[in-house]
Amino acid sequence: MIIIKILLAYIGNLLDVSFAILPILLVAAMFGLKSFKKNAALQFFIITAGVFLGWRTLFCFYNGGGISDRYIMILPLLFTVPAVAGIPVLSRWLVRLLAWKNIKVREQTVVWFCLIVISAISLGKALNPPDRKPYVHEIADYLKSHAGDGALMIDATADGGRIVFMGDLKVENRGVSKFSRNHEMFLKEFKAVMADPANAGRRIFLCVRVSSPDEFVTACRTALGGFPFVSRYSSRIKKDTVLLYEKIETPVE
Amino acid sequence: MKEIYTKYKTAIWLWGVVALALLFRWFRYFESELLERDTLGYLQMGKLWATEGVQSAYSRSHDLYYSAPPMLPALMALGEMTGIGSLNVGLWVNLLAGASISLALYVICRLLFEDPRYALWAAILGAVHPFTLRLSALVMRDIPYVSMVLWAIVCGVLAVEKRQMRYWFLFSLFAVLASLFRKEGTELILVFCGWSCWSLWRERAHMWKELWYLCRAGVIIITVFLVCLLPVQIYLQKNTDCTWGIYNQEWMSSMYHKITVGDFAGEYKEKQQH
Repeated sequence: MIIIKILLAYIGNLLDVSFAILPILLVAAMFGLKSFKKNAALQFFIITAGVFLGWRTLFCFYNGGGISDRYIMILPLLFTVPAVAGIPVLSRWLVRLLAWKNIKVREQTVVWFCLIVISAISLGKALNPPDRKPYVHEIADYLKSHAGDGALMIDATADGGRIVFMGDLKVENRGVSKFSRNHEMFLKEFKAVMADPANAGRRIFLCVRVSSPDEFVTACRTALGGFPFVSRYSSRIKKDTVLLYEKIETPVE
Repeated sequence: MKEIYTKYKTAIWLWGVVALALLFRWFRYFESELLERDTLGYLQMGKLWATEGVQSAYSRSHDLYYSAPPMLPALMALGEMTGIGSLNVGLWVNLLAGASISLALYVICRLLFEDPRYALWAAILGAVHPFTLRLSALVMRDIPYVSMVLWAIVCGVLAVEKRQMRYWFLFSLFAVLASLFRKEGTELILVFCGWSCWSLWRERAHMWKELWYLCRAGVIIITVFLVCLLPVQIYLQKNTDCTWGIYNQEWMSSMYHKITVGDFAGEYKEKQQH
């Protein structure tokens, strides 16, 4: 049962990376096998695709189902080769369908129509802008003007590296686990950084992304016996709040 | 003008598609306002390599990058040293590698299909494939790796079709380059092994002749692969904290154990609990 679950997760990943059009073309290509040359090159290509697919499937099982999209992205590109044979098949079907409705179109025209539609959908998906993270720039700007050289930033957002890079800061970035993912792990790591004698006397900033800031502060107070930090910046991102705290000498209630 | 178009029609279309592929990737790069976390790691490695040497690049970078193959950081360090800039070099390596995927798909399909138009369609599909396009606009190791693998396949396809040793040499060279971007490039050696077994069975009537041909090809491939990669691996592992290698002993033993015991479920259960 678990093996089936792993396999389904793998196929799901593969479909995500392939993009819906490729499987459709591959199915159509099953009806256009005549277009392939029956030569040694084809045999070599099939063996190559088999080795790459087999090795990645094995790796997926080795990894217990989790496999990065980037790791399997070679497969859709290899499958693009046989998928091409599906384009004229799809076009032929379309031509027949249109002929049934008494619309006469040249097959070549339909092929180019299919290619344009596929390209338009693919480009639409590919050029869809990524998620914006304005807080990275804003926190970088704040730290640039307020944190001096040698300050420490405890980062629980995984964006600390970006913040330091964008602001060209001379701030040490220390990554800890995200609070939203594992409270205990975050508190343990946070406690360890705070207790480190090397950080005594340094300006310390804490950057977190949480769903409820009050719950976060309460959890920190309970675990550390106090939370000597004051909020310097906050911003809403979807359902979360990104906060930048600075350590102060006298705790504020 | 019409004569020139008729004469070079395919070339015009093909290079047009490659140019468009490059343009789309360039456009995508300007859409993303932030660099990837891995990119920041490679940037740091490239800068450290350029200023303090390869030892610092590996020892002072984040633990995640100890196993990073050296090609991308090395190219970025070269960019830093020449004044081009490590980010620019990394970006152009990715953009060009991404655009060349279309060209590689074209050559593969040209040899696999009766109709030459199919090759052009494959180039178009390669140029607009969403996931590849997005990744090509980032400074990562994946796209150069994929591109090198596809060019190795091009050489492999040419080698089996034309039966010339120089193509196997090029196949191996691209496998080396792929391995220098991601260690999975070693898989291309498995591809050759798979092909050898099939070819021996297919040509069983002239088995000795085929065996002699495959042995020569195998010697070329293994020699080029080891001569190019082993010194790099030995140097990096002796002088730096780098753990990259063409063969991962720990991983292979663990995989062997899982296959022989058949225990694939343990890790899955752990992940679900986590």
